[in-house]
Amino acid sequence: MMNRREAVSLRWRDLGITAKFSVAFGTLLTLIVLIAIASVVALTFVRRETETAIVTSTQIQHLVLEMDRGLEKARRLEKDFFLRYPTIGYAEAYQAYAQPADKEIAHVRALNTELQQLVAESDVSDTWKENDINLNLYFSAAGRHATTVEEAADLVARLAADETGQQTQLARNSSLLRDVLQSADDPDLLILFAEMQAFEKDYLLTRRRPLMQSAFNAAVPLREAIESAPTLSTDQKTQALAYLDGYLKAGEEIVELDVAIRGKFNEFDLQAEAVDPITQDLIELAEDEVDRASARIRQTNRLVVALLAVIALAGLGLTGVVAKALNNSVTRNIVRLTQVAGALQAGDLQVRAHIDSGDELGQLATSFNTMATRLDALVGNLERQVTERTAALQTEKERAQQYLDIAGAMFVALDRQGNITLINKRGLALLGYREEELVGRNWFETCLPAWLRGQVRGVFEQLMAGEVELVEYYENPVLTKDGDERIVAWHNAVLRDAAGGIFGTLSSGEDITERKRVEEIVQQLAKFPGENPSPVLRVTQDGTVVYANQAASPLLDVWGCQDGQLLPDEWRRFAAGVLDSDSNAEREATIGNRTLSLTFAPVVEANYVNVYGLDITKRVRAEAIRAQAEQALKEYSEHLEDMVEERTRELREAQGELILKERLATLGQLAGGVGHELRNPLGVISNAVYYLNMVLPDADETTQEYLDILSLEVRNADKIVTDLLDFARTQVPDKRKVQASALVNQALERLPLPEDVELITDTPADLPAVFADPGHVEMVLGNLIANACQAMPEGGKLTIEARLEGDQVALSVADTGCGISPENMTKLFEPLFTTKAKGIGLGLAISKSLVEANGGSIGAESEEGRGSTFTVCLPIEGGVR
Amino acid sequence: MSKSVLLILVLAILVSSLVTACCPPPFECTDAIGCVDIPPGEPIKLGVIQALSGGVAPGGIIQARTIELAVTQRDMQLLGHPIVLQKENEYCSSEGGATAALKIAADPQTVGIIGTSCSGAAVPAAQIMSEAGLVMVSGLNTAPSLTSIGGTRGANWQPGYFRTIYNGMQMAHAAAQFAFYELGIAKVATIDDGDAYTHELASEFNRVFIELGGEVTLSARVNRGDTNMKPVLAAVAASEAELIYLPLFQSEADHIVRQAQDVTGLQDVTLLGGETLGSEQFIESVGVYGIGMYFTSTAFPTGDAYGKLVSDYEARYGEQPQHHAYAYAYDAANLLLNAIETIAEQETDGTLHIGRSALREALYTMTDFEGVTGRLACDEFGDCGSVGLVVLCLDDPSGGLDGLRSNVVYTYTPER
Repeated sequence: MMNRREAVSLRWRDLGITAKFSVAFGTLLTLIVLIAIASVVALTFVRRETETAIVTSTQIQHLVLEMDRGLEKARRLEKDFFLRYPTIGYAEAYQAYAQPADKEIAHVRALNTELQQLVAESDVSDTWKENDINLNLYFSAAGRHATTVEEAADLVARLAADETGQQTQLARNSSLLRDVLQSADDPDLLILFAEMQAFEKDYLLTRRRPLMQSAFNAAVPLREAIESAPTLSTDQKTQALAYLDGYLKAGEEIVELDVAIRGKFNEFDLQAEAVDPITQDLIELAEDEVDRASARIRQTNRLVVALLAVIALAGLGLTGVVAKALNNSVTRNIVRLTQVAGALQAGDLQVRAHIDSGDELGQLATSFNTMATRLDALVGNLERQVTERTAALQTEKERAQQYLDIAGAMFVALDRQGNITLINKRGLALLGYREEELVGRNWFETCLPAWLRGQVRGVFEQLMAGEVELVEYYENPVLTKDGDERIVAWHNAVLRDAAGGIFGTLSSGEDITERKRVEEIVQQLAKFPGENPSPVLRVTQDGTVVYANQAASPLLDVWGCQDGQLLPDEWRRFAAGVLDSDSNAEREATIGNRTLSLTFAPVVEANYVNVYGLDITKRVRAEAIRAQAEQALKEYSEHLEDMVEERTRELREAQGELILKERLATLGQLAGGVGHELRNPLGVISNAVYYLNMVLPDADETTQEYLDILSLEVRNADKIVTDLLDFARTQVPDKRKVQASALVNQALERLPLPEDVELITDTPADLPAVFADPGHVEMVLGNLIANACQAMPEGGKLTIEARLEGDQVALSVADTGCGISPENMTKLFEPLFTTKAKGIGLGLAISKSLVEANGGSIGAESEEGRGSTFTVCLPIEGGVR
Repeated sequence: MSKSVLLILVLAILVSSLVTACCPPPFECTDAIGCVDIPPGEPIKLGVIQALSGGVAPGGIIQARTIELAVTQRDMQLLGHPIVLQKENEYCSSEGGATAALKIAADPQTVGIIGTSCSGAAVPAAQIMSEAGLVMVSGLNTAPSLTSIGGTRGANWQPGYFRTIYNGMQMAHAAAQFAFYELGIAKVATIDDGDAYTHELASEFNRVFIELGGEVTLSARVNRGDTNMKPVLAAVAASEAELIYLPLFQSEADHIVRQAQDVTGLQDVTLLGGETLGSEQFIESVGVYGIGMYFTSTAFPTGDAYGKLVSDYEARYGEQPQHHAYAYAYDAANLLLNAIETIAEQETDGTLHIGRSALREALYTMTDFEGVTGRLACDEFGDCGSVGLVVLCLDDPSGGLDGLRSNVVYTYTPER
């Protein structure tokens, strides 16, 4: 009895190929669908997990970082508020810094709430949820921070508001009190006031309470002095005491406000200490959360990859089973049939296919075997007939070949396709091939140059089609085996069969390559004299022109003769003379505005003279021009050196002036830019010193000393910045009529001289007034006087004089100082040039700029060891300038 | 309906009935301001806010140690739950107190706070604590405004705030009466530093002294951290005060005592210091300059419990406490722990529920708590301490704190 497996096998064997493929591919399709479903499910799962983890982690990280940034920004704004309100005023500082800080804190709190909600609602790690305490603290600390900022701002307002602040009250009462005390004309009162105020100033600088207490203590004797002052009226006393009370009250308030503000600063620091570690922790936690999400993604990915791998392996196994079944029942039978067919094709007519199957391949094998048996019988008969015919043809062909080899020309026969069917030995020798290399190959492809093949083949094909008549003779090149081209003259005939149909051509050819080359050389040489662009002639002994090229026509026209005629007598005699002398001779001839040089070359053995002409018109003209130019050059060179020298000097001067102007302009821009840029940081440093004094009231002496140094140097730097800005600023003078003596007096009033400098002035009152900006001139004189004093550190004489010089007044400032070295004299008025240890060398440059802006000039004379004199000349009223 | 479905329904009803019958209903918090629910094994969290650095640190550290000692004596446990103390530094400043309180209040599981050291720190801390629903018991704050002044709520009173030490108003009374009656002083000057403790004591002293018939010639102020006291002392001298009342912390008082000798007119002035100066460090620091100086102080506790505290402290920390107010911190800790023990509801699995409002109420109604500083009873404003006050005189700095304590020159019994 047949078992189940055998029954299935039998059933499978009897199935048709279509049914077998249907079953196999149906199974595979089912497998693909299953894999696709599994992939979709897995990818959906991965995507959901990934998206959730990434979005949550990113949100958390974003929120934490934004909170951190917000808090940092708020702190920066607060610091700016406290640093800048003393300079820009409370109201502006509050609006610019305190309010934005407040908003920033509110934003941070909102972010914190959002973060708490996100942590509570999302699937974050337990560590995050345990950090709820930190988030609470962050939230409440931020709230407290906002309150503290408000309170601090309020304290600052009470301290420093423009009109109502206690500092303003203190200053106002102090000022009013001083005014009343000054009216008393009692030095004791003012001394007591100054003592009190000195302590107050010290306090404002250092913010140390004991100093303000000292001011309060100093107020006690001042109060008593006011009460008993005989020079003050009762009303004045009442007023003064009221101002003093107001002063003391404001002082007490300021001290308390300073303490409170310091407390707020401390609170900011403590809040930062409390919150900063939390921020750092939160940032680290957020980073951990992102890492955790990444780990989850990797884990899920590994799971999905494993799942897909299992499915793919299962599919691969099933595919193998299906492939095995198809191979056994279909592919193997096809291969077997293919092998049998191949053997049959190779000539094995005995081969047969053995396939045990009921499908289409089994039926095909049966039909194939039948066909093979019949084919075997037919082929046997045919082979015998072919062998006999081939032997007859070969005999006939060998006889024809013998006839052709005897001929002196080359012979070549082509079939209808242009293939060589026959070629004699002459042809093989010409082309360099052996017979077996050529017979059967295409004539056109093998033996014609590439450029000619298409054309000749076209004609050949037309001939074979009967469309054109045969060209019996023609010449064309052929290509030898070595690649050389040989020219062959062909005689052609058409080969026809018994029915008159063309089945090829027969051509006999002769190698005419050498003959053609010689003919071409001769033709080229003959053209040579005719192509000459200059006249070429040949004249016989009697003067007859036997040859003249085209270029000689104008010459013959001038001479009035033609080719074959005699030359004019003069030229005929000249030619005869040359022939007699047997040496070349030259002579010029003129044709219109052209000049020709004619060389007569005798050929004695032939008894004629060749004449070669050359156009020398340009050379003749150039020589004339050169002669003229040499004359002109000779005349011009006599004055050239003087002109070059003068022009060079002018250019140097202009260049120097230009460089100086550019340098000044650049320096001006730089100075202006630097000045403006430095002023802001200087202001901030100044405020910072103020701020430090406020928050460090108990600074030790060294710290305080450094703070004082900072203040002093900031003032010095500010002076430099002012100089820079003065230099950079465009000086537009406000000119008016002013006496020189007044200008000198004003300058001296503003600049007290050292005690060891003796002043001598000579500024006559009857000098005409100068017309200039008094402020500018005073500044210039101030600079010159200050320089003079600095040049006399050990003391000396300072002489200031004014005198009339034409339509100008000259103001001179002379010292008996150390003088200026000659090498420095030329640089005196250049910006940034200085010989002093302090200063940046802009004083004299500014002075020069101011004087010139007022239409004047400035100069200096000096002798080392004797002193210097600077003179400023200014136009008088109505002067030309 | 099929028989099998009916059977399942009946079984379900039976099971749910059994479950309901054997287990109590879940706890539901009815406290007005919420409950702290502490699962089994989880700790009871308490905050400790003290001055742990700066000039006042010696006193604050002793307070913190004493609180730790009180908890240790209970094996760090209460009702089967570990006790965890979160210590924060208040820096004896308003801003320090605020920041410390914020840190503690951020944890919703925190039940209460023991502290602060300084009244100035307590003002913002009490507000933050109160708003968070906590309670706070101090063993060192004396500023009257934190509880009551003359029977009315102080300006800085907050619900949930308590103290085991005296109300500073009583100390001001004691000091004023001592100066006026015992020393016969007619003109006084006071110096404070603006802190709630020093300022309120000085103000109350001034008020009482004037009421008694004396004259306050100057109410001066110094800043925390000032070292040059001569200007303020010069002002005092100019005011012709006979006594200077100094309810200050050690650092500033130290400079004042030392520099007073150099200021003309102050060679014979009498100095009267506050509670915080009664420490070993201050006596050692001022040395001979402090001879003749008076100190207001609490009367020293006696009894076995106090004796045990002293010995336990010494055993644990290897030294005697350098300030005598630590006993109030010990009472503050135990007062709070006892109150928690009283009102906490505990489930069979150990879960603890502490009603925040109930805890406050338990403290406000505490009338008979036996502390080492005496029998404590809290009033409606949070004052729980009831102690006698004394004035000490420093005759011999070499005797140290013990020598000072033994030289009681005046005793005052406050009215409640």
